[in-house]
This record gives sequence, structure tokens and C-alpha cells, in this order.
Amino acid sequence: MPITRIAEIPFPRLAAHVLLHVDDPERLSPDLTFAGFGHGVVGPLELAAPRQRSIVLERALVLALHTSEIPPPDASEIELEFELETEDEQLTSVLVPLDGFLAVKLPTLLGCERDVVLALCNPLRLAPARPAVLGERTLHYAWGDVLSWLDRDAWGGEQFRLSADAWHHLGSSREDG
Amino acid sequence: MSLGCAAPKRTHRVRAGPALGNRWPHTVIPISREGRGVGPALGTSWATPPPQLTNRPPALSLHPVFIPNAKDSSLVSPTSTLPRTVLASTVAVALLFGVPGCSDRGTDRWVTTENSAVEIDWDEVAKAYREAEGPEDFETRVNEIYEGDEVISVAVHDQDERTQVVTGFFDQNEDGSVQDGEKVFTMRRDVTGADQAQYQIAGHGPYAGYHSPVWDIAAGMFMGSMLSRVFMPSYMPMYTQPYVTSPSRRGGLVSHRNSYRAANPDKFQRSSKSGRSYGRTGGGFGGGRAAPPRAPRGSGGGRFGIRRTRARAMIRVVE
Repeated sequence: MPITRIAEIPFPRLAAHVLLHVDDPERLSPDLTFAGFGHGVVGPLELAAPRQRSIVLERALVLALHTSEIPPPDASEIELEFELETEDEQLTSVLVPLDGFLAVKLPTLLGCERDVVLALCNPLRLAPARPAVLGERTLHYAWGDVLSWLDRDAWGGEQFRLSADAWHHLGSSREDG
Repeated sequence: MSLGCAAPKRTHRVRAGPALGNRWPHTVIPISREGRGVGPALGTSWATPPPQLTNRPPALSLHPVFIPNAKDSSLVSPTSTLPRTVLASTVAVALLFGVPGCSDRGTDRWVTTENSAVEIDWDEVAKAYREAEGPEDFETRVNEIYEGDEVISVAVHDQDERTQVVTGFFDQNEDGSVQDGEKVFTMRRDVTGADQAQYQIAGHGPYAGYHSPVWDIAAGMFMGSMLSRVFMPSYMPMYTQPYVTSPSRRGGLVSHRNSYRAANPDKFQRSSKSGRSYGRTGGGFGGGRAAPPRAPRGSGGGRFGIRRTRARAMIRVVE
């Protein structure tokens, strides 16, 4: 049955390794065909970008989303793309404006975390609107491609990492990115 | 507004990697037990040790030379910490015999020089650039390829909309910037047409004199985002302010490389480099080594963009 409303789009809660697609130890480089989406609590999570000091969030709500790799160059808002497969294995892309998606989904996802991270490519470097429902939480979004990594240190510790061209941080009063 | 949760804690912090030691490439280039030099820069060898020579100041030669009385008949760079008399003899031999072939290392895939016993497979470096998703991915791949102890840092600079220069360097002073004496290689990519570009590698420092073939690339070829984005209609140079490997990231690169090497014992646990041929000393190793299998490291995740590779229905939902 085709999806007609944002609320009908499945957006599962997933374990961090699954959510960020770092659950395969055989994988060496990011999987460019990855189309999974969902949400979950991830930590510690490093937001890394060239020419920026990395930020490590101990615990953040991450929304794993996708945009089209090649959006229309004149697009003025971020449009999400959910790749869904029907029962007869037909592929369908559901296109949704980010702002509309957050307005519908975010209120049901928020927990204790003070940071909400959009794991979402943003090739046109557009700025999303900060949903009022975030309250004092900070919304982190990126410019450029967002890639996920799992870093291991020499002592066996793990840290998730999202790399992008730049990270921006929308707090309740100002942007500090 | 309170979140209604217990003990909320602001936990932003800046990541810091472990301190790294600065180690330059080894200075000893081995030769065979028969005293036959196999250093790539020499282009010649001695069947028997050369005659005794007079002392000369050691600072004049930059070339590896044969040490007749040195243990194991090693070829030694005069920059190593050898007794002065040995160095003097070393230099004298170099002055007497000359070192043919040093000035032109050409386009051999495997190259090492007088300062380094660590070779670099330039074809693999070129492939890493072609397949990298970005500077971080590229520097990870390059440090997997490099077999020495040093970390190769990377600087990526878009000089304009057509030209990108990627520099690999040993960040000796860990200041996160490229100094001339630290360069290992530079890679220049130029857009040459609507859907075409080319790139080439040049060696520096220990690898000075190496230059790769010019590789052509075109839109539609398999390549990573670092290269392919230049063909996108929405392309904008990203690194007009250069990306440079941060000193804090070096720790992560070392950690990852250790894991990679541990998972590739055949490639990295050679008991000795002795007897190994470097460069153009007969051509046996000029380009035939297969790329090593890449090992599990568990660090690659996904990209949060959709690349439509299959036909599909499109549905737009707004509320």
C-alpha cells in the first residue's frame, strides 16, 4: 500500500552499530549504496570536519536520513529520500521535506539527550529550520557528504564518527557552529 | 526548558589523539650477501668491493654508497650515525665512482631513494585517490599503503575550480601545515574538459624525481566522491581553504594502521628487506606486484545520501 502521509513512513529505532551501518567488520570504506534509515541513541559520537575542531557527544539522538546525491541545484529546502521496497520487490523512493518530517516525527523520538544529530548528506549546504520542539537541545547538521565510521583506539575502545565538510550547531539561542 | 531527565550533562569535548614520535625513514638500504647493491637509485652494482679510498668530508654526498668493511656489507646513507672514518670512505667511493641513475627515477611504480628503505606503491596511491570518498578516507588509505613507521599527513587544496593539489607529507613538527622539507608527494588534478580530468603524482624529498603517468578520468567512471564530485552540476570547490590532517587525527591513523597491518601479516611482517629489489635494477619488480587484499577494520559505515542505481517509482509526500 503506497505511503501517502509522513506519519506512515517507517522510522525504526535501531542499535547504534546498525543505525550507522558500522556493523560489518569486513567493511573497509563507507558503503555508498547504504540506504538504511532510522533513529537511535549513539555515543560517544564524534562530529568531524576539516578545518573544524571535532566535537564528541557522549550521547546523542541520531536521525539517520538520506537526501538525493544530486538534488536540483535550485532546491531551496532539504528534501529527504526514503528508499522503500514493496512486497513485490519494486523499489520506491518517498520524497519528503526535512522540515515537515521533523515536525511530524521528532516529537515522538525525543528523550533525555541534549543533542540531536542529523546524519544526512547536504550537498547544497542548505540550513534546516530548527524545530521548536527541540527546546534547549542542540540540533547538529552538516554540509556536504556525511559518512559514518567506527574508530577503535589502541585499547579496544570504540567511538562512532560522522565526517562531513562542515558541521553546524543550532542551539536554542544561537548557532555556534 | 527542562528535558525532564536525570543528571543531564553537557559533554562536548575536543578529541585528542595520543602523542606520536617523530621518526624519519631508515637510512640503510640493504644489498645482497654477494655485495651486489640493489638500491634503486644506484642503477649499478659492484661485483666485488671497491678499492680503499682516501678520507673526504662526509657532508658532500647525498647518495647511498658501498661500505667495504661495514657489517653485512650494507649500503649506507652518509646521513646515518656512522663513524666519521666510515662515512669519509663512503663519500670518497661515491665521488670516485659516481652514482649513475640517481637523477632520473622516472615513472617506476616502486620507488625508494637514498634516504629511505621504505618504498611506496604509487599505483596504489593513485588508486586510493581515485576511490577516496574524501580527504579523510584518502589519508587512511595512503597510510595503509605506506609501509614505514611515519604517518603521512595529507593537505588538499582547491587552487581554483579546475585544479586540486593534494600533498602528502611527514608532519615532523606536528603543526598541521606543509613545510617544503616535509613533502612526500604532490598530486595534481586538473579538469580538462566538460566531463574529463587528469591527475599525476610527483615525488618529493626521499622520493624526489618520481613522476607518475598522467591518468585520465571521465564522468561515469568508477571513482569515489573526492574525484567524482568535480563532474557534478552543483560542484563547488570545497577546499579553497586547504584541508590538512590535524595532529589529533594522526593518533587515529596510527591506531587504524596498526590494526590493518596486524590483519595483513603477509604484507607487513617481512623478516628482512635484504635481497629485495627496489626500483629499476633489472625490472623484475617494476610493476608486477598485486595489490594486497584490504583487511577488515570495521571502521567504514555508510553515506547518508541516495545514489539511485535502479529505476524506481517516486512518491512525494508533504504532510
